[in-house]
Amino acid sequence: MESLSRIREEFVSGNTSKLKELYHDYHDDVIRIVLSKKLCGASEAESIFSESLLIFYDNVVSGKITEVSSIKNYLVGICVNSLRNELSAKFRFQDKVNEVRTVLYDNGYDAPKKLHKEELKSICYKAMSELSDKCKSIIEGYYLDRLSMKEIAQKMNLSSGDVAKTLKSRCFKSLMKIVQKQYNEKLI
Amino acid sequence: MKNSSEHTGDLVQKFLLDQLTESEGQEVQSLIKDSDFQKKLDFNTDIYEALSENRVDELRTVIQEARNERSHANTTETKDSDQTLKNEKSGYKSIVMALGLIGTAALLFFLSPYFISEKPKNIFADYYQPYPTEKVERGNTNQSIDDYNLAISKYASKDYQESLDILLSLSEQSPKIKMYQAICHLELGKAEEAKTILDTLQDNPDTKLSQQAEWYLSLSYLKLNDMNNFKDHIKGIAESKYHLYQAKAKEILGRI
Repeated sequence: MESLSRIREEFVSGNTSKLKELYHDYHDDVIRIVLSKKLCGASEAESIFSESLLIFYDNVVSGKITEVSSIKNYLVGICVNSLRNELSAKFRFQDKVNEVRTVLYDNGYDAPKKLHKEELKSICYKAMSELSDKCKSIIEGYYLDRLSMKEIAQKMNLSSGDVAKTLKSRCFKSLMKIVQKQYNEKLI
Repeated sequence: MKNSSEHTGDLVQKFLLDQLTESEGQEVQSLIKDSDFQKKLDFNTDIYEALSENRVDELRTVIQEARNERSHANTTETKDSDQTLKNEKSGYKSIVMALGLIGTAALLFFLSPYFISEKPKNIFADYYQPYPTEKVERGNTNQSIDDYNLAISKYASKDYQESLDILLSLSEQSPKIKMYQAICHLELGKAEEAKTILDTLQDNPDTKLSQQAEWYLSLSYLKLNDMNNFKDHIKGIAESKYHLYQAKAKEILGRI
């Protein structure tokens, strides 16, 4: 069986065709097993299988799972748990975001007027596209793929993790500057 | 040496990514009641959430593409097996017919290349993919959310008429719901209706959604055989530096 570290490497290098490959490789088996449990219909099985792949991606990239005896069984497990608990499996960022908001609430934080989430997503999307390719890769590597500074340095051919760290701070500042400007303009 | 603002910024980032050391964790605890720190943490959390959700959206599009490839492959396979069955029944007749078809195709090729490779429907078939579906949240008791999820589930299973009926009945008509309605219309062959909706979505403040609307609007013109408007729109996309579909638009321009 293909090792998860190899799959992770492909994911973090931005190879989305790997995700497609996994979709095609496991689609029939996983859907067949999920349907045999009689917990849902065909269209829901399709949706849940797609979600299970995204959760798999998230868990592999974050290092939450480093080995599994069978990818197929792992995907089936996510689907079945999700159906039995009537709760969708969560991405790791969702747990953290909820945790932070609870901490803020518990500490008497009075949130200011905010933009709708979809608007902020749109601003961030645009802001990322305005960054240089290098900055975009560093921010994605650090925030989304949770690569270490050493891994980022290797991926970007930088001389050391410290250089990557300096660049990360600079890139993040640029991102925040663009986001903050557009955010304030829209909020008025 | 880092200034205080940079330092708290670092703490916030590490907190979000679960990278705090023990002493940094204690520092966060001591700062957590400070309103400036709270604001910073809150804003950074929103950004982190937005970036992460954008990534998930991109991955959902990849999965949707795989899904479309699969359904396209299945359709082709069914057609192929039907053809094989027919060929077995009438081998000689099929060979004659095939030769006839090749002859006709060759003739058309020499007479009018436009009809063979650049027909609007060929471009449409090569570039159109339905707007990706969102996750169906289970166990929600809110009726309108249940209805929305049902509509998305019908959409995912290509039951576009039913999906459209439910989407039209929803009390909230968000831009995303309108986008799904437009795609349902397109799938049901009602390109004019799709065009009307997509026109209104083009100026949506959500850049991503407005770019997607622009793309589908161009494809609607293809469905309407309106090559002039299609070319104008696709040219506009190709010239937009940060457009989601810039590469595809450039590719199409190279073809037409």
